[in-house]
Amino acid sequence: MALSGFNDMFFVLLQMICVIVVAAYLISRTASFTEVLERRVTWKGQAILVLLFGALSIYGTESGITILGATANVRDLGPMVGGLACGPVVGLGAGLIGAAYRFSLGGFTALPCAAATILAGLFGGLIFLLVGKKFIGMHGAVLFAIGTEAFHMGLTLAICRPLEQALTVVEGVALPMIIANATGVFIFAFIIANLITERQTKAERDSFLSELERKKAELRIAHDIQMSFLPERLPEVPGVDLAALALPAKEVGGDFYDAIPLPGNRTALVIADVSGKGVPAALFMALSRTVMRANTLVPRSAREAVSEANALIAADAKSGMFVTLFYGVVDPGVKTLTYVNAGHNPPFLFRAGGGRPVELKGTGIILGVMPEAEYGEETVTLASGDLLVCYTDGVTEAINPNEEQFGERRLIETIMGCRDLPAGEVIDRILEAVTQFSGDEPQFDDQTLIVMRVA
Amino acid sequence: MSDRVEILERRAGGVDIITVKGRLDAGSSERVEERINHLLDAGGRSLLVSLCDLDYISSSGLRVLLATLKRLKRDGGALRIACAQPQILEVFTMAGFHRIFSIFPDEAAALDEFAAGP
Repeated sequence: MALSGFNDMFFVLLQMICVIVVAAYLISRTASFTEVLERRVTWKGQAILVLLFGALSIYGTESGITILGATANVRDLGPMVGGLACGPVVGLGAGLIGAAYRFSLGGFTALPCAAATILAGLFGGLIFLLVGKKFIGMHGAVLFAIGTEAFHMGLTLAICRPLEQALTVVEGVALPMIIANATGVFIFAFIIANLITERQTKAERDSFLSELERKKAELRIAHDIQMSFLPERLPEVPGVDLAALALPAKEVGGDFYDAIPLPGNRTALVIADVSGKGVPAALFMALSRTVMRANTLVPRSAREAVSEANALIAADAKSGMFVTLFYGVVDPGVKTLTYVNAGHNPPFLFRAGGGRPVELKGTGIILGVMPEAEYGEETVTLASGDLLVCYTDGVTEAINPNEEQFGERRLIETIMGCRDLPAGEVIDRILEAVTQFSGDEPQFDDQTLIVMRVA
Repeated sequence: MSDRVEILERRAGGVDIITVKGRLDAGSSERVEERINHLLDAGGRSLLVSLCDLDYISSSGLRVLLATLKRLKRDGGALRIACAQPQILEVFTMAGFHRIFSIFPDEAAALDEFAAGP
């Protein structure tokens, strides 16, 4: 195409840029190019890329602008990008195709132009190897294009004779060629660099999502384990009105309660809180609950049952796992409650006559810490109308948006305000008070309650 | 909740002293545990946990102390606790911790014990 004016040249260049943008987009989305990005080298993929970048080189020759018999063109673009992005094989292959086509056209600069195209692909490929078999990046690629075109001009001056004619040609095409090729490489580099960033971001997002999935699954498993080890419903206990509630928090899976019928119309009540979170805590809860339950089946005192359970749990406790547990045996016949408190928050016993509650304080160390620990037991007499409230620290340590705790004082006040209601309703009232107090603050720990009223 | 705990570290005569201030609860216990484990990983065998300015401890906090105690016992080290406030001592007593931990009224008394041997 003969150059007839600045405007014509501008439109030809614009047209070239459009073609390069489309070519860059299409080539970078091919399966063969993806293989290169994933560092998988196959002969078929390499061959396809050689043909694609070779074709781009031929397009570069064909679309050139003729100035005084020499052509300003982007023939070197395909081999350069092929080499920079895909390595020496693709660079050299594309360069050979472009060079062969150029050489077949003949002309004053045939030899240096053909040689420069081959070397452009080869150098691009060597840079690919030099930076660790990857694309050098946008800035490096553009600088490389400028250098390669300057080298191309130098080669023309060195090879073509007479020198005056060579000088005239180089003077005419040097600047347009450097600008056109640098622009072309910039377009390619921009698209490739974006693609690489996009793929990295996607890889990071994928690994983040799968990690999140795993955590969610773990929480669900912990929750399922915990729920499967809670009694589906409480047994009918003669002589008392019994209700219980377990509200597991999202991350913590350690509370449990139990009500186990014993011979002689008696019932063992258990409320416990396992330290730790997630699956380990849920499994430890399952172990503790099973061991405690098994130890109530052998006829023995409350003290012996808890001591024996502790020895077994301590043998299995790893990395500081422990469980606080309250174990109380209700005997409605003689109206007594015999209990062992292994480091659990003291349950409240509200006497039928009114007044402040009695705290059923600790009689031994938390379970799982000292295999040989001794536990004491206490017995209180019960009267008709007495109300026993056992809870875990998730209830009293529920916080409000000001980070204040619900606390024992509020718990006692809430119960005193509904102490004559049935056990189930007392639980509802407590839950209502805690929920109202917490507001939008998320539930941080399991909340578990057992309420018993003596009939 | 985890920003309500402050952990300070120093050394005195071969004893690593960790001071925990604020609240040692479910939100902060992991951070405290990491710091302690970091010290023990580095070879620390004499650890003094100073609780002068600890306002609150939950069962998660107790678990961290217990795990530390177990680890040090296994590795032939010693853990001592100093300067716990009455409400912290009450939780220790409720859990029965006063039976398994060496608890001292102040840092100086605890350090004297370290000097006397494990």
